[in-house]
Amino acid sequence: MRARELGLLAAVLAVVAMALALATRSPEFRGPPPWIWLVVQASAWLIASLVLRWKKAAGDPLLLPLACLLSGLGWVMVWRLDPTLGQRQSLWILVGLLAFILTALAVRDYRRLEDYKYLCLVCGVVLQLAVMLLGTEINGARLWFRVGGMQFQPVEVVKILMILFLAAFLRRYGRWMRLGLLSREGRLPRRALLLLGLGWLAAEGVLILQKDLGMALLFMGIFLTMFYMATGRTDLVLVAGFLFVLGAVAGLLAFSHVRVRVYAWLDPFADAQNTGYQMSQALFSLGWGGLFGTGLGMGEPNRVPEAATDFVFVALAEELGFVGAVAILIAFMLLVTRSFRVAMRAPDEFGTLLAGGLSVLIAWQSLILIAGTVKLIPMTGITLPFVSYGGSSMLASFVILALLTRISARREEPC
Amino acid sequence: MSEITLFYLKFLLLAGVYTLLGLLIRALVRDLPMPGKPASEPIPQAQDAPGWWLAVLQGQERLEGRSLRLQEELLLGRAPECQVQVNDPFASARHARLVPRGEGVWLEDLGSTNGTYLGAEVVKGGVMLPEGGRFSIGDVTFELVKRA
Amino acid sequence: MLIKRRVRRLAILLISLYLLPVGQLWYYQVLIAPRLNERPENSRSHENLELRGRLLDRQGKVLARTDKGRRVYPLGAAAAPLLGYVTERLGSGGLEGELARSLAGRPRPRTLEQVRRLEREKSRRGDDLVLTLKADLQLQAFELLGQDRGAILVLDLPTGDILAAASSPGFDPATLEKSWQRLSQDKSAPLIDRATQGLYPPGSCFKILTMAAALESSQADGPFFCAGSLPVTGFELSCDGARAHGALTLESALAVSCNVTFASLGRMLGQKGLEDWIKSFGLLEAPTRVPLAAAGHAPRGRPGAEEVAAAQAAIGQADMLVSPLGMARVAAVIGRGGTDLPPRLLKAVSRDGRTVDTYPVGPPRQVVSAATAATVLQAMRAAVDRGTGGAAGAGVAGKTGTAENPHGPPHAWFVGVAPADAPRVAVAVILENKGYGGQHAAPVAGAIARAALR
Repeated sequence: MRARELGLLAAVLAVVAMALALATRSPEFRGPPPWIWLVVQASAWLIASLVLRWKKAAGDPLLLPLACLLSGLGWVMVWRLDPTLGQRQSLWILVGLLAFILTALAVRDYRRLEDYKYLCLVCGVVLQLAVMLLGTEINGARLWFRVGGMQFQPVEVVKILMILFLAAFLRRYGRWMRLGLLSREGRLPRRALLLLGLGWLAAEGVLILQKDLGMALLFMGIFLTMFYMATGRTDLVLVAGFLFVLGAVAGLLAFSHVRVRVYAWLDPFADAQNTGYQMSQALFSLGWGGLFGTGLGMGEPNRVPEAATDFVFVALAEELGFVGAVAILIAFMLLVTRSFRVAMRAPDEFGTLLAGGLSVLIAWQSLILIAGTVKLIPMTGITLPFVSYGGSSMLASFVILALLTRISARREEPC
Repeated sequence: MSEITLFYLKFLLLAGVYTLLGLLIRALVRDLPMPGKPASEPIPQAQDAPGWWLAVLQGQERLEGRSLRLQEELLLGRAPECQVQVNDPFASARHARLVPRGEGVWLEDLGSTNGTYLGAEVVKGGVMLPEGGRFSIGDVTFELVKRA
Repeated sequence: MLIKRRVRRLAILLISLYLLPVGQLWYYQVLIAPRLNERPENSRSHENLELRGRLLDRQGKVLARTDKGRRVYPLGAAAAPLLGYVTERLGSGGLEGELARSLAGRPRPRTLEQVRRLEREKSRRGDDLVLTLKADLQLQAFELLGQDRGAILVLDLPTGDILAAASSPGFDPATLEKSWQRLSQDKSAPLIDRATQGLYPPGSCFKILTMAAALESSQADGPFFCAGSLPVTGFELSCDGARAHGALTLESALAVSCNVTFASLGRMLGQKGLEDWIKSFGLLEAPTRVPLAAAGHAPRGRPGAEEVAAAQAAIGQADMLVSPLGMARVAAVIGRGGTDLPPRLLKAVSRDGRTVDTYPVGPPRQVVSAATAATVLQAMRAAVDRGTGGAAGAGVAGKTGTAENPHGPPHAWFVGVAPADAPRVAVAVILENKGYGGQHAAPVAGAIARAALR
């Protein structure tokens, strides 16, 4: 199993090296290719794989290569867009890998995490409230803490804490929510309604206070899918989802900031120089790429504002074309498939719920962001896991990867 | 690099990415058949013997649709000594027991963590179940059948 | 376990959701990509100015080049209406717009064919275009126009090259983006090059053409008599101030610019006959080697009023409209002894300092006989030596014009050639609503003609 992981990692790194060579050798790129950083990164990936193997913490052999492919291509694109950001991104990947190793080693038995569910809840709520009330507002959305020159996006931590709490809570109380209202017994499932109500309130709160549709969608999506996993109550999930949509629509009507984004989404060309600028530039970027792309380093993705963070997928789609963009989507599909497989093979219900929740997180987050950048839904302010530039996001992605690896590693041991 | 080299390398890179995805998919497909734990040996029984039978209605793929003959006391739970292995995460080691008593079957919860249910009702202590009575442990639902 | 079944169901649902962006990508990257690429807001389809070729004058002086992403015009306002502009936000106009196909740098190659072409040409730079202009003469011409609205056009007789085409008011190309709003709504139309695109009634300058046509048609046997006015089908044409010139030869009729004489010549030639001559002087078509140049316009006259139309056209009034370039071309035919050469503004195309293409001179075309041309030239000398055009100064032969127009005071014209004995350049000067041509346009024409000969 390990040998396969190492082999796949080596193949992925070879492709990343080729991408880097192309991006930095193009006639338009000025500056030396960062070979040193590539070598350092490659060693870090291999070391991570070997350390886990040595500590007998090794899990699913496909997770690491897939993460490496996504973060490698993202890194090359970020470097090509802005070498300064690229350099920082290299550091974030290294820090992320360190966090990956430490988390995988620290969480010897993930079932112990179940005991900290209320701590997770309190920490998550406090962090979330803090950023809602005290955070710095950027582009009209309040998602950041700024300390010195560093920015920190607490939501990246909050979403993991929330999944830990939900997995534990639903493992404990989910069974009582399976019956009642709308199902055959006709009794009111008070706990379920209370939980759903609180979840709904939290998501709408995020939408109203943070003014970010993507974040609210992500919260609600994770919450409802995990609730479904634990209880199978499709009826309640549908009702809550419908109510969320109602609330979201009301929110859209009430808040001009969100409304502007919706108009920019419906017809970006109506105000192409102003509110629709980012979206129309993103569409031009996609169109410019065409089927096979301009070639790495030979397009003009820098014309799209926030190309390295929110629109990194569009930047990749421009230079790698439709064919390359689909490859990235396939990589995400594989990562999600694989992490769901971890959930299905987990030895206990908490493991299943936790891995399932983390898989849902990766899936929802990438889907919402990609859908936002290709004009399926209004643009949102979240990042693409492993690919986008950003320290908090990179760190969180690697912690998720470590938890998944840990849960998949437990399979062999008796329970 | 010359323009023409760059032009061909663009396609080579895409080919490289797809080869990689191919390798990953191959690795993924190879793992697909989920190696489950070996199924516990079903107790060989004549399928039409008269008396009480315990049928698994739903919830456990391995047992679904199967019936067990209820001749004497049966233990239900995850522990190895249980005659009916309930591999549900909500099942306790020794979860409940069933005792056939002429006109009915006595179902007794053995102090399980998550309870034994008759529909939405939790079984407190024990209860006599008639023919056709249903109860569930975790996600697994059982039914009592009496064959003439 | 049921929970795992739900996880599987959820996984299948979420993974299949990834197909939605695939469909959307296909739509934007393949189906409607060509339309997206062509949208005017799409700055990717805008050319890279760094790669745009230069505009050069006939001696290789730079007229337009790109510096740090901005287009720079060393002559500033002096050549701005002719050369035009190109900016990221406003797009392009003037020659810059019209010649974009050669000037513009090529986009990054996408197809194998484009890549191969780039391998051959080694560079994506656009071509340099060499114009026939003379930078210093252009500058002098613009300075001579001063604050007046108007135009000066100078033609080189042996080649038909446009040596200067100045138009006033000009505009400062360096601050165009800021002043665009004002300039584009300015009634004095500073963005239009009057020298090649402005159409005006030529006034008495047109008598050169009428005289040549009459001589060719053998209908110019004098002497003529001017009573100060001439009735033409219920309409009366008169000389300036209705002053009678009395008995005149054709030469002195041109020298004193007698309307009565030329209107009667026009009436004799007839509307159709005059139009044929206007056409054979090349005034009714746009010259092909001068981008954007405007074709002139000959009056048709309503049925029954052809006689009035012919009489009015013969003295350059009514609906007779010609550009300064057209009038200079008429003078050039006389100066060349009756031969026309199509005017030329584009001289050559060069790439990386090598000339890759040249625009040929000619072909020459005999419009009127050498004798006719000599007679008209003699009359033009007389007009300067002892007629209305005295202010043009010695060495110039020409004709003044004072063109009535509906926009206010008459336009002051002067059209001529120099040196008078063996012409090498032709000039046309118009000053809008300035008054008498002899008083205002003639001195300007004299000055620019002498500058051109230096």
